[in-house]
Amino acid sequence: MLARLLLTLSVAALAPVAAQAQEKQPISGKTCEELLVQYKQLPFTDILPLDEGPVAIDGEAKDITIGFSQTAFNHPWRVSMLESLQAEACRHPNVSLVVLDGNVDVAKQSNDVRDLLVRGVDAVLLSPVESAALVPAARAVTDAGIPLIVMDRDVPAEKTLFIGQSNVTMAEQVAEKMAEDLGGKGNIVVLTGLKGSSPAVDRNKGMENVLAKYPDIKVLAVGDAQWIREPAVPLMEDYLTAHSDIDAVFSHAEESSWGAQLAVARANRCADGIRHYTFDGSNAGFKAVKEGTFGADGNYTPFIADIGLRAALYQLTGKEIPGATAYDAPGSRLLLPDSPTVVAANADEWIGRGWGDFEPTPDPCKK
Amino acid sequence: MPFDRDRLLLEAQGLTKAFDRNVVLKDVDLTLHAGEVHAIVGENGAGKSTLIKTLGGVHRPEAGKLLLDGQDTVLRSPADAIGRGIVVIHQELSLAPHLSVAENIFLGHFPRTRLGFVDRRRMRSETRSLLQRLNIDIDPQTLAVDLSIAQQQMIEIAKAISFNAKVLILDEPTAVLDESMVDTLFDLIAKLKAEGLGIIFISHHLEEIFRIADTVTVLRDGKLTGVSAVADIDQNWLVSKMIGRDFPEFSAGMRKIGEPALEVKGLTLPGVFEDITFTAHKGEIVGLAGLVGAGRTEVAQAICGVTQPSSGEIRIFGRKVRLRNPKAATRLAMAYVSEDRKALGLLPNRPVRENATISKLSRFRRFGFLRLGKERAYVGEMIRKLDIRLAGMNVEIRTLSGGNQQKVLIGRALAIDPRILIFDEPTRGVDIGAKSEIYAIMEELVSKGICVILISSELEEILRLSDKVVVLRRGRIATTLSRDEASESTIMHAAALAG
Amino acid sequence: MTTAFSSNVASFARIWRRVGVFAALILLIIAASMLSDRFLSVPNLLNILRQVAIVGILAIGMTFVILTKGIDLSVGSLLGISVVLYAGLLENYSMAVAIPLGLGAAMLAGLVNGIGVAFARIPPFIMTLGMLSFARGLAFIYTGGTPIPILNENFYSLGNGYIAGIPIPSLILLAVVAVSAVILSLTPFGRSVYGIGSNEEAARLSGVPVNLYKVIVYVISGLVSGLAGLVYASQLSIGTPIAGQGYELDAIAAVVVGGTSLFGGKGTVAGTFIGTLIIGVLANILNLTGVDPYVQQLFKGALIVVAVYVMSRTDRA
Repeated sequence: MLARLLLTLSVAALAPVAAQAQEKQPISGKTCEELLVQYKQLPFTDILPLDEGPVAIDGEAKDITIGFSQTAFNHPWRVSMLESLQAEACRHPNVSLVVLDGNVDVAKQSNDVRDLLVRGVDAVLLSPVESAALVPAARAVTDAGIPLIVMDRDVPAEKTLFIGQSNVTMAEQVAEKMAEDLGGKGNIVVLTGLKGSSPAVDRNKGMENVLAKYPDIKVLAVGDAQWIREPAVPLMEDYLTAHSDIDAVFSHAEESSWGAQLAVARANRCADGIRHYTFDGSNAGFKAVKEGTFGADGNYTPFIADIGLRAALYQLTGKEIPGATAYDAPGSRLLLPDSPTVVAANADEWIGRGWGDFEPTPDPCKK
Repeated sequence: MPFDRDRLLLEAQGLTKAFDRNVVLKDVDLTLHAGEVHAIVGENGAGKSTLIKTLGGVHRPEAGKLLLDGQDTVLRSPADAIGRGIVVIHQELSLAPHLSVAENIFLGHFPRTRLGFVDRRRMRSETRSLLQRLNIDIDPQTLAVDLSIAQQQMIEIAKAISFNAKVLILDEPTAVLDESMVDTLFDLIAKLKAEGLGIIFISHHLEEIFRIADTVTVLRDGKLTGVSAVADIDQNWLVSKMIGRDFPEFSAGMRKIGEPALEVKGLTLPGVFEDITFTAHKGEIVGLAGLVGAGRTEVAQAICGVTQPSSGEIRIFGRKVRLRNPKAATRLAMAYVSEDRKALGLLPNRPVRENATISKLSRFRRFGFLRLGKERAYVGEMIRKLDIRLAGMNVEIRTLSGGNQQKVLIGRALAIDPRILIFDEPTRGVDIGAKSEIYAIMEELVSKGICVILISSELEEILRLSDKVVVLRRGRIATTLSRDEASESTIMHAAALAG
Repeated sequence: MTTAFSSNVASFARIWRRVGVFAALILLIIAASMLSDRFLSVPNLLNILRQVAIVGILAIGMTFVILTKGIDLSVGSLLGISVVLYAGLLENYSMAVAIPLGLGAAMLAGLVNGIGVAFARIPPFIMTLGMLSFARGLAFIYTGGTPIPILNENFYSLGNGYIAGIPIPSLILLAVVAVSAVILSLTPFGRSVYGIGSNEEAARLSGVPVNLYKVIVYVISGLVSGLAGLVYASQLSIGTPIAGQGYELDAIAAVVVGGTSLFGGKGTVAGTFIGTLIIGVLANILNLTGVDPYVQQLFKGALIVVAVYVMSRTDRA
C-alpha cells in the first residue's frame, strides 16, 4: 500500500504523462483488457446489441468522439457507470470518449455540456445532477443537431433517448419483501438518501405505496443519512435510545445500512434481531444479503452507460432503436426491466454481477 | 454667505449622564453660536468624550435638555444627530480605505442615474466643487488608503459639510497632525467659521486653543470648572482649571552621559532615508525631529529590525549588529514604542496583563509553561510603578484611555529590560496629566543610564527633554543640534527650509 | 468613568463567554431531559460524547487557527485523506505503520497550508480552500473513488471500544481538549497565538515569531484532522474518499457557538468544547423526539445565528 501511496502522489504529479500513455482508462484506472472481461458480466448487453469492431457511418469507419457528462465521480456507483461505458468503447477501436466530472454542481455540469459541444463531439451522453436545471444545456445539444442520450435521471427536454430504471418500482419490491418478512406488522425506522434528491424521493414514494397496504407497519422515525455511513450511526444510536421496539431499518443506501448495523452492535441490541432493507446493488451488498445481514438489496445497477453508448451509435449509423417509446416528457424513453431485488434465494446468482469489487464490512453483530 | 452671529445653534442645559451609579457628566451647560469655535478641554476622564457622545446622539442624558435652534430636542441616535446637522469627527477616522475620496464623501447617499446606477460623473464633479469651496487640494479619484492622515481628516470634514452640517464637533483633530498640517486644518476651520458653522473643538494642545478658539469650556471629573472667552484668559488659568499642577522637573543638559549605546553610520534605505549617522549614549535623550514624512519613524524601524536597511551599519554598545526582525532587537535589549498604537501597538481585545508581557514571555517561563502568578505579580508592580489607572489587569486594553494604553505599551517595552528605548510620538493622543507622567517615566529611565531616542512632532516636547536634537528632512539628516543650539526656530529652519 | 463603564460591559462579555455558553448548555440539557425521559441516561450521554468526537476534535484545531484570525477550510479534506490512508495502509501494514503515516500526511498538508499563509502571504481562506480541493482530489485518486473496507480488528476496537466505561473516541476528544487548553493558556506559544490574532503587526513588533507560530497553528489543525480521521475510520471501518465532506463548516459552527471570535484573539478551547456539545445535544434531542430532518436544519441554523448575535451584543463595548 505504500507503493500505492507513492503511485497516487506520482499520478497526481504526472497526470498529463499518464494520460498520454493511454494504457489505463481515466478515473476507473482499468485497462481495456480488464474492461472487456467485465463486459461479459454486464446485465444489459442484450439490449440494443452491437457487434465488436469499428463502427462505420455511411460505410466509412471515421473517428467517432462521444462526450459523457457525469454528475460527479464521488461515489463508486458513478465510477461503475463509467466502467460500463468504457467497456463498450473498448469494443470499438474508432470510438473515443471525452469524460467530464460535474462535481455535483448543476452550473458546472451545464458548462460541461456546452464545452463538449465546443470540442465537437459526435454525441452527448448525460447523467444529470438535477433534472430541471439542465434543460437549457440539453436544448443546446439538440439545437446543435447532435444525438443526446440522457441516463439515470431524466431531463424534461427534447432528446434522442432517456434510459432509466424506476426507483419507485424498485422500492416497492424491497418494501414488499420487508412487509412479507415482518408478517405485515411491526415498527420500522427509515434512513433516507440525501434529502431532496430524486432517488431518495422516489425510493420513499415506493415504500409509502407499499406501506399504505400494511396499516400495522409503523414508521417510528425518518432521518437523513445522506447515502453514507457516518450520519447513519448517530441517527440510529439516537433511535435505539428513543425506541426499544424497532423491527427493521429501511435504508436508501447500503452504506447507511452498515452504519445502522454498527450502531445496533454498539448499543448491544444485536439480540433484537433488527432487519435491514437497503438499496444499491453492490457485490458487497449481495454478499451481506447472502450472509443474512441484509434482508433485501434493491438492485439499482449502474451498468447502463454501455446501452447509452450503443444508443448513440445506433442513432449515428441511422439504425432504429428498438423498444424506444414515447412517454409523458419530450423525446422517447427506453425503460429498463427492473433487475430482481436480491434476496437470500437469488444472492448467489447475482454476486459478481453487481458493482464494486470490495468486500462487505464484517457484520459487527457477528464478531 | 451672510449669517447671524447671535444665532444660538445649540444650547445644552444641565446635562447629566451616569453609567450604573457612576456619574460621568454632572450638570454641564454649553452654548454654541453660529460662527463660533468653542474649545472643550479637560484631562482624560473629565467627561469630554461623554459630552461629545451626548451631543452626537450616542448617549442619552439622564437629566438636562438640549436645544437646537431654540427647539427642545432629543437625539435618538448618531444618525438622528447627523440628520439634524450635528456631525462628530472622531479621532479614529472612518473612511473606507479602498474607496475613492468621492465615493467616501457620498457613501450612503450616492447620486443615481435614471437607471439607478451610481452616477460617477456627478459624484466626481460635486466632490470637486465641494473640495474647491473648502480649499482642499485633493483629487476626488484618489483612494482613501493613499491619503495622509491629515488629508483623511479633511475628507471627513468635507463629508460632514456634504451632509449640510450646522454643528461640527472635532474630537482632538490635531493629535495626529504635525505642525504644517495643523495650519492647513486651522485654515479650513476658519473657512467653515466664516460660513457660519458652529464648531466644537477638543484639544490637548493648549496653545492651539489660543490660536483658534473663541470660547473655552473646561471640564474636570465630569463637572464644569470654567467657561470663558479665550481673549480673557491665559494658559495658567487653563492648566489650573484642568489639573492644578505643572510638569515635572526636566533634567536635560544636566544628565550624566555615559558610553555610546547606539551608533548609526551611513544607514540607507533608498527612497526612504539616506546616510543617517548619529550616536546616542547611555543616560542620554536624543530627540529626532522633523516634519511628518521626513523619515523619522522609518529610521527608528530600521534600527529595530522591522525593516532592513540596504547599507550602513548599526553598533550597539560597540558591537556591530544586523537585525533581521524585531525579535533580534528585543534580544539585544532594544525596544521600540510605536507611534501608531492602534496598528502596531495594542492587542486590543486582550487583557492589559497579556499586552504588557507579550514582549518577554520567557521571563515567566519554567519547563516550557508560563507561571501566571509570577506574571501577575510582575504586571501588578508595573501598574503601580507607571501609575496606570484601570479596573484590573484583566480588562481588555482597548477599554483604557489613550494615556493609560500608552503607559501599558511603555511597560511592555520595559519588560525586556531595555538598554536602548525608542519612543515614537509617546504623548500623541494622551491627555495632559498622562503626558506629564510619561515625561517623568522618561526622566527616570535616563537617570538609570538607559539610552532614549525620542521622536516627536511636538517641538516643545523635544526641547524640554532632549540633550541633543537630530533634525531630519526628506530622509536625510538636516542638522544635529546641541541642547544649547536647539530652539523652536533652529529646528523648524532645519526641518523645513535649509539643506 | 466611561472607562469604568466599558470595562463593566467588557467583563460582562467575558463572563458570558465563560459562563453564558455553559449556561446555554445547561438550559438545553434541562429542556432536553423534559422532552424525552430517555435523554438523561448514561448510555445516551455517552453516545452524545462519542457522536461529537469527530467534529469536536476538528473544532479544537479550528479554534487555534481562528484565534490567529485565520480559517482552515481544508480540515474535512485532511480528515478524508487520512481516512483513506489508514484504510489503504491497513490492507498490508499494521496500525504502527498506518497511524503515523495517516497523521503525518494530514500534518504535511497542514504544513503546506501554514507555509502558504505565513510566508507566501496567501489569505488563509484561499490557501485552505485550495487545499480542501487538492486533498480531496488526492483521496479520490488514491482510492479510485471506491471505499476501502477496513478489516483490522484492533483498529475497529480503537473506534468502538471503551476504557473505564468511556468510549475511546470521547477520550481522544477529551485529551485533545485538555492538551490544547494547557497549550493555549499556559505556554508562551499559546499566549502568542492570542496576540497574533489580536494584532499581528503588534505581536511581530513585540518580538513574537509570528510566521513560525502561524505555521505551527496550521500543522496543529492538520494533526487534529488526522486524529479526527482516525476516529472516523476506526469507528466506521471504511475508508471512503468522501469522508469528512462539509465538516469544516460544522467545526466552524462549533467554534463560533463556543464564543470564539472570527476576528481573532478571543476565545477558548473550553468554549469550543461546550459549543460542540450544544450542537451535539441539540441534534440528539431532535432525533430522540423524532423531529423531521428538514426541520432539524432550521434549529441548527437558528442556533448558530442566535449564538453569534448574543456574542456580538455583549462584545460591543
